[in-house]
Amino acid sequence: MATEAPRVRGREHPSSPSWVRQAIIVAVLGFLYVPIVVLIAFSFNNSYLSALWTGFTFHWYHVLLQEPTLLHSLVISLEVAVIQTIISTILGTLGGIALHRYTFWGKKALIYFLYVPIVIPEIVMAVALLIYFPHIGVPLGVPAMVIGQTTFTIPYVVLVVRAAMAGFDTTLEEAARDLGASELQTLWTVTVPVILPGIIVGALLSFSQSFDDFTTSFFVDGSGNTPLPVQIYGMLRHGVNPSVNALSTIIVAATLVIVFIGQRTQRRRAQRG
Amino acid sequence: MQRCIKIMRVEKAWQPLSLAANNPMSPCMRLGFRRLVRADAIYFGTLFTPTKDSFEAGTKDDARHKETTQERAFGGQERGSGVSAKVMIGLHHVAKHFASAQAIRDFSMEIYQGEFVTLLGASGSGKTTILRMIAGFESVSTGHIIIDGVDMTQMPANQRPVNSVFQNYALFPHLNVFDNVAFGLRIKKVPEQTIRTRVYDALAMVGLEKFASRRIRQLSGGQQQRVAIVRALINEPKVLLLDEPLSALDLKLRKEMQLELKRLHRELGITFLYVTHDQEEAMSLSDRIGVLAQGELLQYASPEELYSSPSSPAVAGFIGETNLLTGSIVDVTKGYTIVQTPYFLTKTPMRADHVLGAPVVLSVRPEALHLGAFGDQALCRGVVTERIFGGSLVHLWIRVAPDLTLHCVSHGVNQTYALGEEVDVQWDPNHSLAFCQTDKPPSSTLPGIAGVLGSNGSDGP
Amino acid sequence: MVLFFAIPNLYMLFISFMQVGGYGGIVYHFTLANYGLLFHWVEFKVIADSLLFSFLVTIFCLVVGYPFAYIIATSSPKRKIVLLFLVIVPFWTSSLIRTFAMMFLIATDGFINSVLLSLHLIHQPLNMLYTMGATYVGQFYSMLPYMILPLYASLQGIMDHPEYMEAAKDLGAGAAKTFWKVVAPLSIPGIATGSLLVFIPTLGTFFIPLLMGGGGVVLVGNFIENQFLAADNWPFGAAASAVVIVITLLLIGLSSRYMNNAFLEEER
Repeated sequence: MATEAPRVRGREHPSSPSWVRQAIIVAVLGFLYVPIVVLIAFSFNNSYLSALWTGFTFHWYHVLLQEPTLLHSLVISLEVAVIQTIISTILGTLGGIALHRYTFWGKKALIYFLYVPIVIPEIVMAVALLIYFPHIGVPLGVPAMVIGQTTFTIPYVVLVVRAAMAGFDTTLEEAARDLGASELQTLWTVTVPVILPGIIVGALLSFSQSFDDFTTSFFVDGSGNTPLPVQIYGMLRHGVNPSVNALSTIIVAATLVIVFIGQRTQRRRAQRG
Repeated sequence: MQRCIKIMRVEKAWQPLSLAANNPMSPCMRLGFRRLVRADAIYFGTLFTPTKDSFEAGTKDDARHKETTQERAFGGQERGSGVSAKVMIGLHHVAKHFASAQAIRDFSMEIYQGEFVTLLGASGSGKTTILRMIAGFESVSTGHIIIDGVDMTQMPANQRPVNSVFQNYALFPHLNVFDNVAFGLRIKKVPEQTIRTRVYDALAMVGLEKFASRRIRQLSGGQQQRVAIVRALINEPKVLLLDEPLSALDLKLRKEMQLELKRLHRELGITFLYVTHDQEEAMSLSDRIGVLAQGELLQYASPEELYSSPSSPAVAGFIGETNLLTGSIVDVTKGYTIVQTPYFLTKTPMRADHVLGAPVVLSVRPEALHLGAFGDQALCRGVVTERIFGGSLVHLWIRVAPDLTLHCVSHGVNQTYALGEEVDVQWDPNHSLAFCQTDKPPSSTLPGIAGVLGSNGSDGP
Repeated sequence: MVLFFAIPNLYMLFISFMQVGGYGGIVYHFTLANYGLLFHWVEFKVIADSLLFSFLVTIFCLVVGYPFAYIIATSSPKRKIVLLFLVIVPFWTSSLIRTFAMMFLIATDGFINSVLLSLHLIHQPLNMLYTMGATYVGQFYSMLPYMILPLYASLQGIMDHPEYMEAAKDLGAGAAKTFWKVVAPLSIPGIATGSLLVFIPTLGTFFIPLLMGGGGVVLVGNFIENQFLAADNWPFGAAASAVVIVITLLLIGLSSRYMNNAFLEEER
């Protein structure tokens, strides 16, 4: 790598010296990571108040485990995330395949429309749902959170599945039909397995979006159903203690695992294609 | 013989009219039957469409039969099948309109059981569309597609007794070789035990039994091609449809696969319908070739016939190379037509449509041209402007006039001419053809199959 | 299939109508008066402040993100994977937690002050958290990956075709000219996408000003939140969010012609 990197750089970027590049890399990554690293480090700090290092401890993790409201929040968060991931993965996959395969009147408008929830500020969606749910009888709480998050996770799944379908050779479906498979058999034995990496990435994205979701949950969680991010927000407003660091560390670690799985899945897909 | 019994078993599940086709009957009865099929094609759609039950019974019966005969089917023995006079595919006035244009117009053609037929045409000529309509991937705007006596026009692709080999192979990337080949049998719910033996037998047929557990991307292009063919053939389709299957392979491999296809066709006796734009490939593989242009069948005949008596200048240009000269008919005598071209008079075999004064296009194959010093016998005289040495053949271009350059192929290196050399040109009149220009090419004629079938083919229309 | 697909979308459509209906008269019998209120100067200033805030954050992200994205795109393949991974992780990490991390760093009793105090570089803790500046830093910190990734995707697309740059050099352009005349114009879709992905969420941000700005920073996001959860004036909040929607859709419409990746592949 050491021998390779300068050559590539030298060819494509001859004017800026290598130390400028290194400095920019260090500065940006430092900016992105120093807060997180400090946060993680101090989750092991043996002091209640000080932001100075006084010794190593797992104390704050024990505190977390003994906090029933936090565990309850975790359960709520997982429940919501799992249910809505299943829903959005199934609907998003079918939608992505349908959007790829069929052309119909208003398709372009539909695509625009579909992606609006991704780009629109989440708070706008959240208050809209808050107004709307009582009208259609959806109780605030887990169902409201599931539906609310699904509105912006489905577009992500559709996005990823459509990208996977773009690389999908539709003659494979014709081949399956030719070999006697019905439309449903074709979908299940050929289309879905081939684009599975895309579906997995979509599901992971959907899960992490849901698990990390604060804004929507904040507005529609109702009482007694506080999910983890909202719980953390409450803790932040009422004074910080290192157990929040510990909790955050766990969530960051979980995120890392998910990103890692997602990246590997995608790379394997790239290899196979 | 075995094959015959098998067909009858299958047919029994269909309707009586189809069954009748297999009863021993005189050629004239057979002729009558075929006429009936063609004339009353529409009735097949309404009266003789098989019920779902009969269809399933057919496939089941078929499958059971295959189990007992698989050894023979995949044992690689010579099967003296050849071509029978039974129509396997009938296209009747098929047309296909796309949103903007008409891709296929009033297309009719028949393919006999066991035949190797090629649709030949440039890209955009509609040959692939026809194949896809037979496979069921493309809907038919008007007309009927009859496969083995049953109207399949409205039948979805997965219920048609045909299988396809795709241009890009379309092998499932998430399955290994074995699972790819087993796909069709698994859909039919054939017992797993049977699938094993049949897949391995089938793979052995193309020498790939050791690759059964390989992933698709670990195979070479030629191996993928073989898997694609076996995956289709293992379902024992009534017709195998091949859409330019060799176009992705290099020349050497292509020649190899051509031989392999020939062998499989001969051994299995399955009807092959092949699509290509490569006239050489079409010539070397096919029993009959249908030449297509702009969605129309220009001519449908054996390779020999296409070459020696093309029906139009377009066909002549497509099958092999040819010199085309314009002229007009100045005399018709004793079986010959005298044509005046801008530079010389020549004679050519008379054809039915030759009328005095009609403008014609004269076609002369490059290899029919003779070069030398012929004196008075020479048709014309020209200068060698280009010379390409091609191994056993030498290509020469002779400029006769500023707007007329003739292409000549000569064997043997001993007869060489230098660039710029003047040379006399002549040809045997019997190796030239004159087409009347105003005449539309006789489209979709169904010429007798005498060239292919020998005495058997006397029942042509 | 279409049916399966249509259900959540019809649902979405329904929602967006309900939103309009919500303040139009179904819940409370208010009418356009809410919009009239928005144009009182205090509320108008909230929206103007939010637009300025979003604009500046977007510019910061672009200025910092572009060189970094360019460096990733021109790195060796191995290093590229590592750098990308390092950008994607914060992209996927809960922005609430990342906001908290930033708070922890710059709070009055936070990490930076503690370090500086213990090194005797300062004698009074610096007042960094709960300021407008902190809000900028927090929002910028939260949004930077959203700028880098689309920019990278766009630049990588250009780097995949070195013949463009080679042609420019062949025609006599120097490195700087090549960049400004070829690379920069070709990366406009990435700039448009990245800017949109930063600007719009920033316009609707509400917990970052709440957490990092203290009570003093009022942007349209926390203004809406306040109307809904504290002041209990839902119609007024809904009117404000309708304004945000209109601005958002306008921006999407304006920038869609420049975007070729991400959402709008169908455009081609």
